[in-house]
Amino acid sequence: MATNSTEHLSYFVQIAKVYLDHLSGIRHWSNLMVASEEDNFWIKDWTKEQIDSIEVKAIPYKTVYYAKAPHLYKQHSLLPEMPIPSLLWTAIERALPIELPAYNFNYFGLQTKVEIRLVASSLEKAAVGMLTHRQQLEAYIEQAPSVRLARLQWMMLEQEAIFLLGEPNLPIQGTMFWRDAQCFLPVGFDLALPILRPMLPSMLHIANDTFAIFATDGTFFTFNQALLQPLSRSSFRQSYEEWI
Amino acid sequence: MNYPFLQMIKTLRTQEEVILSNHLLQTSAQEQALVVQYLKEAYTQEAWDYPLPIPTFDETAALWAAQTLYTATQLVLYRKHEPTAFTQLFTPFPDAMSPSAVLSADLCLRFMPDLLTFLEHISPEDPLIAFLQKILAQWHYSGVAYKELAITQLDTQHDTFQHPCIQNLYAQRIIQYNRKELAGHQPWATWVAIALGPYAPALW
Repeated sequence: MATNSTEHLSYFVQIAKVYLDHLSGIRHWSNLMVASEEDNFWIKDWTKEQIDSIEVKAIPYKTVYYAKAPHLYKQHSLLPEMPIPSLLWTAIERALPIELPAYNFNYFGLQTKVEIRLVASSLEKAAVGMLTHRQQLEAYIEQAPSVRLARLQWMMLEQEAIFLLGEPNLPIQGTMFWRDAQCFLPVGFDLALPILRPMLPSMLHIANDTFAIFATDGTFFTFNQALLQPLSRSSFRQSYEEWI
Repeated sequence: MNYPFLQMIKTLRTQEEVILSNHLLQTSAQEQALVVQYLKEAYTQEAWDYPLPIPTFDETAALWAAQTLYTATQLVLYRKHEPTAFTQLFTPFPDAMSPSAVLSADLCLRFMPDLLTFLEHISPEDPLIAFLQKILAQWHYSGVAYKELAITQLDTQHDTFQHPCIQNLYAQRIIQYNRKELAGHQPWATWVAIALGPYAPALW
């Protein structure tokens, strides 16, 4: 039995540019190529299944052609309509970019709230911050080479908790953080919605001159950046001498 | 009261300038006590930054170093002596070398490299240069900043060089003055390697 020759036909779809939005349903078919021509848009490289699919049939104001060189014929017609247009074809994803609406910070519907949540992530980031304990640092710093301390900054958070900032950080036990502008997130974790990262300070009301340290459960605390001071043995010893 | 020796050491340590009031090589015992007192305070202040175990302050070494430096600066400005008189003007260090002595003497001797460079600019053939270099070569820690110091005379097996605080401070000073060639010699190479760990390219 002869094969159905219509399966080997190449199809073209023409649509006026004003109806371009109706193509949103087929944008994810990455095999399609598109080109524009004055007021019209052309789409080619369809498969037979695609051209017969509901998604395509649902697009209004379109004209479907099939090509039999050198002419285009309207679907279900035997009369040549026009020559195959020679145009500059591009992938549909590039030709129809997605526009994201600007985020409206002032609007929070009663139900819609953006939840800041941390999830485990394989994202590789340099660990620049460390939350450690006074005893840990003391054991190291009393005999540490000064060159390792010189590039770091530190601050006392409470009597016993210490935050160290800098790279390379010290080889002591502690919780490591990676930095995104003002925010320090635990290593191995990222926001469940990473796109929110640049907006974190404004969403959480973190002042410009503060750093925010996040725990894995999404809670955080802030401290003033000006409280950080260069790490040195004398700085450490004198700080704790005053304390005791 | 007028204390030219104490004034000179104080200005040197606070402003890194030498001010000599007169040609006075002799210093009184009272003034020496004041200098020791001042240097002890300075040592306590600096010891905040020293790694453990911190050597104690050595009064003899501190005073000897201060006097050596004072005499050297006097000779730069008022030279009435023949080179043969140098050995009488500079008394040799009376005690044995120790970590305490090295760090206490360094309070003043650390200015010796700058003084030597200054002397070389005035007159490279000055016999005082070679004389002071010989002293500084014994107090090698203070002379790390000075580029032409002989290390062959040093007894690196001496207890002084086994002290962890000395080793740590040595490594720090070598990195601070960027002395790559000294860091290529043992035992300094080991100490610098310990200080830098795996971060040598990032830190130095």
